[in-house]
Amino acid sequence: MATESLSGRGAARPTRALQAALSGRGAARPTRALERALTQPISRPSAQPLIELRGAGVTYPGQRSPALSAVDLTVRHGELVTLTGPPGSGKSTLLSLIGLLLRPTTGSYLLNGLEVTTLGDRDRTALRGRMIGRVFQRPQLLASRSVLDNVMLPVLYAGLRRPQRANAAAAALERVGMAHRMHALARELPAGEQQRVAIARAIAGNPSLLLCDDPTASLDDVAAAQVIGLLVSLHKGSTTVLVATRDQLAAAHSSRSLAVDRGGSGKFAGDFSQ
Amino acid sequence: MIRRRIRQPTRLRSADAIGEACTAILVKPARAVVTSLGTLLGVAWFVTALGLASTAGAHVTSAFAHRLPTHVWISPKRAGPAPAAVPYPADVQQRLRALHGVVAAGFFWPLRLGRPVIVSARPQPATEGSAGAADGGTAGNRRASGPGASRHAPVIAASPGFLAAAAVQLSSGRLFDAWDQAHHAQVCVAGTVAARALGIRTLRKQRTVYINNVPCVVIGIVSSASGPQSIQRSVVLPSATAIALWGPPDERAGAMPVLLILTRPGAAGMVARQAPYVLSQDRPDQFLVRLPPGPGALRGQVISTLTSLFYALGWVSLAIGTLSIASVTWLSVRERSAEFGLRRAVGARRRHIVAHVICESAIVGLIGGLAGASLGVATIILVAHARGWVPVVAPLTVLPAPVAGAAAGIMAGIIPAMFAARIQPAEALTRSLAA
Repeated sequence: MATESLSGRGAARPTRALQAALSGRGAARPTRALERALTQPISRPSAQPLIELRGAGVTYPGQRSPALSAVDLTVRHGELVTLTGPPGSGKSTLLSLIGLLLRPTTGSYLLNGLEVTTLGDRDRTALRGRMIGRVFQRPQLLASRSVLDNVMLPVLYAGLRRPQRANAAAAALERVGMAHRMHALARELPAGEQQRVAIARAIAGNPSLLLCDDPTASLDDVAAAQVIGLLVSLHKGSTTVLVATRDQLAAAHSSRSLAVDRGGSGKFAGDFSQ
Repeated sequence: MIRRRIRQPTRLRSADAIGEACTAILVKPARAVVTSLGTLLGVAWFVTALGLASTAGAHVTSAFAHRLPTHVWISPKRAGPAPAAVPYPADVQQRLRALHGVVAAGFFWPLRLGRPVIVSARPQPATEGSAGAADGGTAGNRRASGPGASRHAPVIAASPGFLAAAAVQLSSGRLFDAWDQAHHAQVCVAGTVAARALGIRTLRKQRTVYINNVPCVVIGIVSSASGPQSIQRSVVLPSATAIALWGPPDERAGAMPVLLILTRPGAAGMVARQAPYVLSQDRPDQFLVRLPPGPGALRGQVISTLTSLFYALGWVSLAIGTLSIASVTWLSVRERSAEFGLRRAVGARRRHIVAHVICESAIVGLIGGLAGASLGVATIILVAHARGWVPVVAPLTVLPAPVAGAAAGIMAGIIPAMFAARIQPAEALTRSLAA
């Protein structure tokens, strides 16, 4: 909130108010606010935080205790943030929340200045597809499809034609150094290469935010080092990267490291390691 | 540009939806084959059933066609005093021949003179004509076997067209024609039975019979005829000759000139309706039209029963095919929930998932429909060949079959697609992506 008031964007206020009014009477979409949020130059760091969680918590339906409770977190453009913590502490839930796969049951979430908690599925899906790339613990590739097909998957829903999709996918594979296996079936690759293909898939749509949920968990040290190196290089290419990891190497490269403890009870604020 | 690009909702081109569905199917071709088997059999049964119904129907129709009435009988209603002559226009044969479906037409009447008509191989003494009248047919019959016997035989006066309308075939000689009619030639054609009774077996030398002592040259012997049953027992002579010799037909003696029309199979009904107007445009109701009952109604019942039975079975099997696609698609969607979760995570909207799943099941249905239609047509041809029928397959049965398969696939895909669209990506992605 403090950053908000410091930024001196007078024009932002009415829009925010309008948005509140709109969401207050349950209107469909805060179009102008969405527009403003999305017109922020996302490639260069700005005073506007990319991610702003305010007391966001998630309780899964049918469960009494929250999986994530009252998190306050601010991530700026171009940061590389590592999330550490024991298994079951809510790292994955936090990443799902940030990645718009879950809605917070309490609190609010502003992505690039836009309140996304109350957005409709259509817009959340659009933001998911165009702004966010993600890498999972397992590569989660379609095993019987080619590497290229797998990487083309996110751009498929961007509505690009097949040649353009293939170009985007080939470029992404080039960046992760997997272009030579483009036509191999995904299941033919070793685990480390599969994870690199998964990273290529995550960046094929040029997302501004990359979310990685323990991407090195199933890899040996060499492959893990390659994957971490890749994420670091992407970060240097001005992508904002959030990595949940137990890997010390990742933590060493990150701009800051946040510890998540059980229930994610708000241990994030100002927990800088660098 | 960035603004526009990100603001736009994610989209899935229909070509891409079909492409993705095809790829997903091709990844597991065996499953697609097994899934489409239900539809394949359903559609195959449908096409076979309908095709066999129409083939059998056509066969039944052609079988019945041989029994369809081909004769129309027209006689004048009794109206007041006897007409002076034949109550039909002079060119009645030509007029009727002009009707579509008419093969031949002519009129006839039994020769009745108010006294017995004696037909004999030799001239009879003048007195015997009246003597024979008392004991009638029995005496005539007893003497019929001997050559030269006199007979109490029916004599028919007929126009040349009648012989054609009765489909008279000759074992020897010729029919009388318009020339004989015009010149009142004293000629006649004898039925098989009549000829044998008169001792006539061959016409190699000229034979003459005497009708009430009037000589008539036998110019033809009938071998077969349809129409009036009495032809084989009768002697038939030109109507103009009969009028010249004995006067016009005597209605009071029961000699009513009757028109006989031979039609093509199936045309009799139409001809029966049209003929009275041809005969008399102002008073078509003065004629009595008789049409032997045909087997049309029975045929209709047989065919419609067969067809509705086949239809019912076809629907049942198509429903079973739909259910089989639905269940396999359901299982496949559950198994691939992680994949749909991933698709949702990378930007697929619910409707894209629905489109994807329905495309898959529709394509499987379409494949089943295509294969089923081919199998059905092949079965029809084989069965028809085995039974010696001509295969009759309406394009309207075969062409919609793949469409029906696809429609079955779409229906089958709806519920699994709704399920897939409700998959929560966060939860689904905790599972491993299968296949």
